[in-house]
Amino acid sequence: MAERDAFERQFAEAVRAYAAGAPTEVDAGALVRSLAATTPRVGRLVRVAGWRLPGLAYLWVLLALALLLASMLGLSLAGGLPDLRLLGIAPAPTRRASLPAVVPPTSPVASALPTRTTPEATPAPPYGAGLTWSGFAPLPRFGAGHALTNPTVGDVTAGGPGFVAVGSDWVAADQAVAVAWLSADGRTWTEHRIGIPGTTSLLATPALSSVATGGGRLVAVGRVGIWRSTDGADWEQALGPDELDGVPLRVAWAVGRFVAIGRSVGDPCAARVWLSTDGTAWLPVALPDAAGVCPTALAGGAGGFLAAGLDPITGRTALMCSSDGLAWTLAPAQAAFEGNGHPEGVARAGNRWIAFGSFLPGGASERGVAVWTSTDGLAWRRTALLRPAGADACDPGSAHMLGMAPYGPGYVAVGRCTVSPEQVGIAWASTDGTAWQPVLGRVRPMLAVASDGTRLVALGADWPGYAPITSSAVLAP
Amino acid sequence: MGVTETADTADRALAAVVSQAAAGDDVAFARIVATFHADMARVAYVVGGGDRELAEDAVQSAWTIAWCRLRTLRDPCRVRAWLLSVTANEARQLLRRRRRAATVGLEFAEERVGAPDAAGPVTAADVAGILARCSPDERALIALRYAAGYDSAEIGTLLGISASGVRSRLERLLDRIRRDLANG
Repeated sequence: MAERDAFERQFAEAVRAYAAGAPTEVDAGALVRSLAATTPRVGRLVRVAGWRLPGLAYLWVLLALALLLASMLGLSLAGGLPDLRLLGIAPAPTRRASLPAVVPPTSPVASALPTRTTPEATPAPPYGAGLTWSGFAPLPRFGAGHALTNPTVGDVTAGGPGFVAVGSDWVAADQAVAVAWLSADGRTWTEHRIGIPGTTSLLATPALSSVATGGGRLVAVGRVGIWRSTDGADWEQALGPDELDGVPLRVAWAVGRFVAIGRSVGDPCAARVWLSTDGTAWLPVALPDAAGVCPTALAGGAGGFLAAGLDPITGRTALMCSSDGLAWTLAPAQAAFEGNGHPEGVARAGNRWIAFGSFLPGGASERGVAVWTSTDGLAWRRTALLRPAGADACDPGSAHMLGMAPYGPGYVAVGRCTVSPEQVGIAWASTDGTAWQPVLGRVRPMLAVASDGTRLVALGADWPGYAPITSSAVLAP
Repeated sequence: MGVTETADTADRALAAVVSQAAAGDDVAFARIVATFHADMARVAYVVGGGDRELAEDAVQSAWTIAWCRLRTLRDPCRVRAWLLSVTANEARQLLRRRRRAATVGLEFAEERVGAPDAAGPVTAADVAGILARCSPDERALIALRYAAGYDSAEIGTLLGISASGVRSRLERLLDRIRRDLANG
């Protein structure tokens, strides 16, 4: 008996070691976007030729409702029923008139706000009202690329010849190569391969997920390690995946140095930080003992660096800040993020740190876009809860703010929302990073944005094909 | 006391995230993906006998099912067990289909794996040979017990059999594996 128990313990250990070879990489956001675009949320699936497909039961319900409405309409026309509008089922106008861009006071989202930071209406056009976007163009590929898969984009920054975007492109069904796309004007782009293709999964994050510029250099990080360049076209590997005790996910430049943040190879919720002054020599940085954080966002600015993520134990937002990239402080739990507030990105605006993401106020049934601010990175307050321009068309709770960049005298943020069944782009503008105004109407979904001071470039997706696209914008005086 | 409180807090946080995801919140669903994807991949990998492609297909299929059916989950705190059982089931079905479709190729693969090493303690390398000799159902049992860490009662609930049934199957399976290892 004891022998069997000892064997079982030994066997269990061996199975766990064997299972460590499993493909555990995943880009959760990309997976969810893919599911949202291709799979309706219905309760039943049927298997057709080996593939699971949504069941058709809901079609019968729709058909029954259509028949019921048609018969009632017929009776109404014949005078057999009172006016259908009294029953609340008369056909709605095809397009509602434009609603106020901010949350209506009767909405549970609005009622949960301590104070309204965006006015109901402004007599003068708000900052960003004159923002106009050029046509969205697909990013170029080597040859035709792999026919069935689109490139995967990670990030965009101002640098090199003008703008540099990074990601990965597919050269075979299971082989991708890291790439940089370069543009001088934000309109015409060229693709540059970085390193050699490697086997990867369609579910994996882009080979390069983040890029930053500083000190006349570019640094890009991702699953293929840390790479540096001076012009964006020729890249050198600073550290390969095997030389890093983790996977770098985001990189930022501030106070004369680059900081990359990522996660341990074996544990997605053990944060890792690396530091470099030149992009070539990198130093792993020790983190506070409590830094059990699934990192998601990083920003640099005059105040140093700010990283955001998720505490895997409590499910709450975790924030770390550092003035020099070497010594990091974990922010105490913040009441401002209660209500399942979760930043999707962070940025520096003037003398403030900004976190932006989503929030579900108590008593509300729909998630809103939220902006939090802090002067020291440790004490935070929620300053705005926004609905995008044209939010009357967005499905409730579907708006996401995903990228932010300084532009002109203020800041512009971009994102996406669902207007069933498609995804559309949305944007906001702010003069101080605190009070935000929705701008723009309906454009393509946007994932990241960068500015060189005079031009704005957004990286987006051609929904639902996911072909990465870019667009440049200018702000009318 | 503190540990219990922490576990309760984590359970409540998890239940809240699952409820939001079931209500259609994409961000909450992405958090579930980030939290459980690795566990699901390990289970699928063991059931698939080390086939990474099969593991990826099984996990993707499991996420599609979860996307559609999460709202049918009765107890949000049991989301991990639910996801892992869906994954094991998908991997089992994919394995059966591929075995039927490519019997010749699989036989070659089994021959190539070779017999486990009888000398010394059982290792991860031995597991490949052991799994090659197991049925899809036995692999699912091994994955849920040793890769996911569930006990017999929990596995019984997931697979719809009694806890004692799971125990006796595991005992028989382990005895057979020990015999195989001893016989080389």
